[in-house]
Amino acid sequence: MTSRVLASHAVAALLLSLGCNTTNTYTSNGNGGYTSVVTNGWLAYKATVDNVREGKLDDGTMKVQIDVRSDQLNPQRFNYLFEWYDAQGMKIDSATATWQNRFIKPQETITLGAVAPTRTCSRWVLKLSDEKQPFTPNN
Amino acid sequence: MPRRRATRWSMRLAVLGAVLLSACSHNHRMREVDVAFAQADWTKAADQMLQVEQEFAKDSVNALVFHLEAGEVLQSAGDTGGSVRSFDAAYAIARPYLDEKAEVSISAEAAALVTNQTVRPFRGRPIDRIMMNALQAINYWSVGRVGEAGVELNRAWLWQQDAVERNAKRITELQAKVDERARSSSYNVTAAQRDPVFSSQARTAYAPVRGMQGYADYAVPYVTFLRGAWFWSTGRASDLDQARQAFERVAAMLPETDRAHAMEDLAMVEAALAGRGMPDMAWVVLESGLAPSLKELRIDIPLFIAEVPYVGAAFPEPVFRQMGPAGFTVTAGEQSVRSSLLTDIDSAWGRQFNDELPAIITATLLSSATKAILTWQLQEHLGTWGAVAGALYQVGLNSADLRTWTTLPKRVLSARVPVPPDRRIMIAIDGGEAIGPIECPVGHSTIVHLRGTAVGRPCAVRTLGGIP
Amino acid sequence: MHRIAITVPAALALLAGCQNAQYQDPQGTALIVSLNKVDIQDFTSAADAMVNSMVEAGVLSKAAHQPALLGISKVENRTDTQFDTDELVKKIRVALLKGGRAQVTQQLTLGNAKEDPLGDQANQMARFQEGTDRQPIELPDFTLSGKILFDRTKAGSTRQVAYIFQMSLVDTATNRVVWEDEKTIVKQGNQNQVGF
Repeated sequence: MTSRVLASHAVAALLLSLGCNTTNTYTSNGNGGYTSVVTNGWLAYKATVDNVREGKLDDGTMKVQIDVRSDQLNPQRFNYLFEWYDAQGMKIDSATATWQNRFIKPQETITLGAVAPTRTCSRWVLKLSDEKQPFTPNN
Repeated sequence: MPRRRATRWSMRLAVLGAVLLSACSHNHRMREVDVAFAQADWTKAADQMLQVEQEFAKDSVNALVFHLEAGEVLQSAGDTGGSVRSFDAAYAIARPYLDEKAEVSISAEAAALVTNQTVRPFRGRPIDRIMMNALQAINYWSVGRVGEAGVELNRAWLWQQDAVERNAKRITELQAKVDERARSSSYNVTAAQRDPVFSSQARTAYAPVRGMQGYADYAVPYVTFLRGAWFWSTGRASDLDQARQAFERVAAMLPETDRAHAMEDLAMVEAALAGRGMPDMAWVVLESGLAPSLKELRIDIPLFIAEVPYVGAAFPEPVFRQMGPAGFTVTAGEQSVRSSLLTDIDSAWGRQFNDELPAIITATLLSSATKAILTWQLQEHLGTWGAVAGALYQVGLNSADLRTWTTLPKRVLSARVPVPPDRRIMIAIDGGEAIGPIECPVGHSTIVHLRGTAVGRPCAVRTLGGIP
Repeated sequence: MHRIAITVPAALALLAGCQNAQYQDPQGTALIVSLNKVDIQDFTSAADAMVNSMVEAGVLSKAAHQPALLGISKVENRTDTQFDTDELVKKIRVALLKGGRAQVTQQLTLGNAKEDPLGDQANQMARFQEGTDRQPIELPDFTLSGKILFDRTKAGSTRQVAYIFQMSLVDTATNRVVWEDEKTIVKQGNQNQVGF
């Protein structure tokens, strides 16, 4: 393969990675573990779930803390959103749910946490999406 | 150039000149408002002002100055809702210059070179921006929306900070842009400024404004005082230090002769911080007279062409205007207190105009000379048609930028008195008018706001108070 | 040549005319980020942090009433932006109410201003008819108050604004602050020194 062909493939791959900002989803399995659906490899490289801790408040409300690691050598940004479901698998809407933006340093592990909006919630879903804007001192 | 083409160009220039001739200046449009406002005929001024404001509402170059004028005039006429709308519209135009838009625009500067300075969008001087939000705070405060007044005072404070941090840079950038154009032009601006005819006329015209010092850091003591009084009004321990800082700054800005009230404010807050209680205080502020306007001044500038050695160029000349009431006495129970000067707006305005003056002079020299040389070349090459077109071009475009917020006060006077047990105060304005009794609303801060433009004419009165 | 001269501006005009408005997901990542104001996502984010923190602290679940009875006190806007503080407070209230953690009382309000005057009148009438109007009113377990502050700063062409959301819960039985939190939202942008 000539270097020109290689270069064109590299450019195409880069464009593809920039163009497809798909979401990576991590879903609790109800037993303290989780399953993941990773469709965005680039995003997983900068924010991948390492560890999950589930717990309950005194009133029985579920809470979760999730460790997210970056394998990148540069500072990065990504967005995350928690969704909550009850035992029947029904989604419980929260008035304050919104995508949140996070900054992560190279090779750093950070913790994302959330408290269930109601006591009936029994499962969580964590969605991660890429923040296309690269980290600069100005953003 | 073929004769038909030359004729077509001459016609186009003639039409352009005619259009520009028909365009009216800020001073012309404000004339009737100014006359009524200067005589304290608030209602008539407001009626006239509303028409002018509406006419220019969509004019991206001039809308700001007319919204500012309208905000002040409508406030004096007691139309708080109208004044709030006008100041909101003004803020919407000015706000992006705080942290989004650039102050200097290449296209506007280029257009100004071949026309005149009036084609540059009016962006307001630092004092305009500070006063815009301070007067809006007065609007909100007077209708008991004290929280919103606090937001406006925060905005005024930001403009003040911005002026300190950025204004010197803004003027430098503007001057750099103008200097760059001067360097690339065939016209020798430096030589023109050294020309004895021009320099002596310019020196005489700008002598009164040259000596004006204003206040340090472009600050407006009146606005800093309002901020102090607002923090005092909350009655919260956490706000007392902010009030102290504000009153301390006011005291530091004023000359010894006018400092007594500010020192008493400072002592009052320091006592409160030491746990000796918070008295209810009434302040009376009188916005008196009219801020400077600008008039057109013709000064001869050299063209360095043997056939046309000099040409008249239009420069803006400050006109310092009428005083308004000279002072007042406020009486509360047995106590009577005399007013003192809180802010000399003329001086603050003068300092800012002074800072801009070198850039104004260079830009005017450059654009006037460019137009005159172009006119001379038209005459040389196109004969009679060229002379006609050139004359129209030059006459139509040879105008100074006279836009400035003319309905601002000339100065602000203030007095303070503790709220008496019956919560009533009387005010005697120099020149005869007695105002009151005015009842101080419940709360730590009452401000009686007076606007007077002429001695012997009634002041517009509003009472600011309430708890945030 | 002439055809191009006509077609290109016409196409540009058409393109300009085709920029229609579109809906955005209010929870999404494509919302406008402003330097000159508190954006809706800022309010949502601050409310989310406050509700999470409040629930996690567990004070509401220990109240005498269940769900806890909440009085809304003063939430002050100390920023340089005019907005209704209900943009924050209502989100917190909705989240607490929907989560079954708290209800808001109308019996005791700041300045006696009733959110729903008809509801208040109906309650007074009902109490009168039941003969309970002389009995003491139900006091809230907690009162919620707060302040939204701001800080602007610049370095070179970089502009930064921070909005600081502070909230507190006071236990009305003891008059003690039993929960407090602060959430800071920082935004940065650039300002051109010279524009076109």
